[in-house]
Amino acid sequence: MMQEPGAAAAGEIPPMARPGGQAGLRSRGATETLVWLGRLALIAGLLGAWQAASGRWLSDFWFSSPVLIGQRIWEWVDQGVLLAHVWATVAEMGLGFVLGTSVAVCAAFVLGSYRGIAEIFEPLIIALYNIPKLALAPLLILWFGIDMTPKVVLVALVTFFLIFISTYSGIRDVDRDLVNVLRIMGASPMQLFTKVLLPSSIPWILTGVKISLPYALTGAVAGEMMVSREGVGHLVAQSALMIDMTGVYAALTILMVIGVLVDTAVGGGRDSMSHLRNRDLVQV
Amino acid sequence: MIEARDVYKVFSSSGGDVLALKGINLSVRPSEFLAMIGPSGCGKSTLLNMIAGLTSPSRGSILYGGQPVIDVNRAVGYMTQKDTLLPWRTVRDNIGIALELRGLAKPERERLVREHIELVGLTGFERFFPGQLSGGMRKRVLVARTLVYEPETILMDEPFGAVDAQLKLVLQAELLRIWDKTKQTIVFVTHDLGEAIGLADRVVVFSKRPGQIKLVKTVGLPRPRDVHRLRLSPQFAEIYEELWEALKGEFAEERQ
Repeated sequence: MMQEPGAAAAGEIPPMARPGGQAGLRSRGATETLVWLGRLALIAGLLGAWQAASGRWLSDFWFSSPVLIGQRIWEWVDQGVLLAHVWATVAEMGLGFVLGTSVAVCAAFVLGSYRGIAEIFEPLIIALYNIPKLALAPLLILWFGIDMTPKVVLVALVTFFLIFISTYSGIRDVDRDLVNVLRIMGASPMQLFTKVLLPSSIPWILTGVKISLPYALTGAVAGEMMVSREGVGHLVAQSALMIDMTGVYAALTILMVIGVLVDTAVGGGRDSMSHLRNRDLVQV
Repeated sequence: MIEARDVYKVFSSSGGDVLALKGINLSVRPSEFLAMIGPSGCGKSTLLNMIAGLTSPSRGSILYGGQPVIDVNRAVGYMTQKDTLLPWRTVRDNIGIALELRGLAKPERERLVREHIELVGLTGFERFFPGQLSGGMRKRVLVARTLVYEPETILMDEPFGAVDAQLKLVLQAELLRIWDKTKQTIVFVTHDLGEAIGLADRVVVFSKRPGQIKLVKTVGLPRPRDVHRLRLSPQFAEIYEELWEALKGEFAEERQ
């Protein structure tokens, strides 16, 4: 076997190039520490200023204060109501998201594989896509009542379109030659789906997931704010109704935390999962 | 046995109809190495796609083993110039995919994959991903993937088109070495005359569009062949001259 140029180089894959090396790492570490200190200082400063101003230059009725908000959240935890509300919101979001995503991925695969059908559906999908989904909340509540169902459906609708569009582009992007080669090798439509179409579109689906999760949270909360018995959106709406500003801020804080957690979880997952494919794309 | 009977192909587009192939009659014998050569756009790849069942003739018919090809032809293996490896699968899993699709048991699959990795000289690279291989190594993986399920016929569409001249000769030599053992039918599309003569039993020269068969030349060079030395022999030069005479007109006219 003849050794060909490039073979030896391919034998040892260089690790992802890091700018700087050891010395560079140390100084970057130092910069990172500074950034983190700066961030802490900013947040502490803002909260401190808020706390100091509250009751002095700002009405603590309208603006509450970090300490009051903290106490309120602790009360909710203590009474055991917080977990139930958070659970309701997360459950609506999760169920709706899973429902919306599965339908969207299936629909995208069907329409992505059959151009004719796609062309028939296109105007309808574009028309529906352009309805502001949150405006459907009252309709869904009339249809499904005030329990979790209308929120789940709302989240599913919001998610569906974002994931559908992303996945559909992914399927259209799959190399026809790749599909043909596998068909000749004897792949059934199901095998084509599991061995080529699905893996090739995973980066696209994940992009859709990343984009749609914050909207899923918005959908769940918006649904709860209309009519509901529980959920963090319910807490916001109820507190506002009673002009309980501390309650509003406390509920908003909790939403912020949920949002950040969801985003972090998805961001991390996406990066590690698309790592392999990205590296391939870069090196090819 | 592959047969094209009075095959025409028309491509319709918004710009009008284009006649790509005109009255093609050709038969490929079992275990034959047939090369097709012609200017780009002469329809030789289209003919290959027809044998693979990916497209059908506008008129006439393609027979494979006496039966008209009407659906995807699973008796063939197809290797194109394009890199159609699955980037998320390792070398081993890329080579084994056809066996996986055909539901072969795992031990048998592993044995065949190992054999073919050895055949194309990729031992030690089993767990590498395509993105970590050089262009020539990826070609080898493609060859192994096409051979591993032992298709009766192998269709190759400029398989070594994008590699440099030296590596191309190396890969050609490998292909001949393997083919001498397996003796599958190979239909090989190329636009490199030297490659066509070096590899094939017969060379089919296509005219420019609409593609017609201009000449079929039997290459009488003895086997096993050494693709490097072959080029220095007077017989090679003679055949090259004759085919180039037929071919160059097609390129000259194209320029007008």
